[in-house]
Amino acid sequence: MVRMVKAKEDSINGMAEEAGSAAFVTSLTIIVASDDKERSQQSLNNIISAYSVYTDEYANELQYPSIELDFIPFIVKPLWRLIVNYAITYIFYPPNAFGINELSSLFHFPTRIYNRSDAIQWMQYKLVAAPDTIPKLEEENGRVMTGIIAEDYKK
Amino acid sequence: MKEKIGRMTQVYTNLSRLGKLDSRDTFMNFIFSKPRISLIYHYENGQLIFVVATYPEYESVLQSAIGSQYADASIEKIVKPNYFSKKYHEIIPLESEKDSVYTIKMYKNANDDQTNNLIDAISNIPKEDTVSVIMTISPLGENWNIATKEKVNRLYKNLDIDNKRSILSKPWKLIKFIFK
Repeated sequence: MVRMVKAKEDSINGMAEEAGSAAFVTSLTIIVASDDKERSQQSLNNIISAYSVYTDEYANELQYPSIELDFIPFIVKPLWRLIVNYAITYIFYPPNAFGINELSSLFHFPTRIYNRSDAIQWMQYKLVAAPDTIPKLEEENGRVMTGIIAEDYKK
Repeated sequence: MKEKIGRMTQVYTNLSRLGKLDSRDTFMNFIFSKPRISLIYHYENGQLIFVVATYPEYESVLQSAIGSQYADASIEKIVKPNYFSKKYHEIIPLESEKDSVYTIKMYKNANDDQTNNLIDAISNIPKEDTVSVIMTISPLGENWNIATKEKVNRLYKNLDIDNKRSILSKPWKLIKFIFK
């Protein structure tokens, strides 16, 4: 093995770990919609710059296809829109392949402790399965018990 | 924090079996390449929701994969968000700068949850606008792992990741290599 800077070695160790785990071909698309054309462009730039946290000096970073966007936007934009609508991962896209740790860094579900943004829409309730002890209708008697009948029964 | 994010790696591991669930699924995957899942951050009316979309045949697998790791989560069906609801829209894909063997910065090496940076950027966008970050994933086979391990071995030896012989056998790689 060749001696190298520790940070670089750590980075390659991370790559080796990812090479041994499950991987997915991935397409990552940002869409900003607004009634103000200039504002939509500004918002898009803000979000692209937020992705700089994924830059690794010794490894990889995320970027956008600036040449296509600058020279043939009238061709590529409708194609990008098409692939978003049909959830395509390969065609018209540079194929990204990410391991499970990379994907977890890019998308994971929030927790109240670590993701405290007010913008996150938390659910006010939780759907749970019916308990196993719920009474069952053993014999068909031609009647169906509803909540209304049960309430009347109480009275 | 890392332990919580690490739970998501288990979800992805479970989902990596899609397309290989049984012989019918393997055949359908070969013909239609159907096992695809979209993971979406959707911001509308000042609220950010987390959406996961897939084909109906993978719904139960997806629900159990999420439910087993996020016991306190509730999964509900919603209609597909409208990404292009406003008059103007901007759309752009993101790509890796280098070959996929090189990893992006992962949560294990980050001091804070990296998605906070993205969520904060999204939450600063006016409530009238909508933002969608759509990540569509499809499982890769073992061939990718074999090829990537080979490339990592070359990196350990401080060599170029592409074997010169393989470059000569693939003309498009040769062109890329010359104009690099």
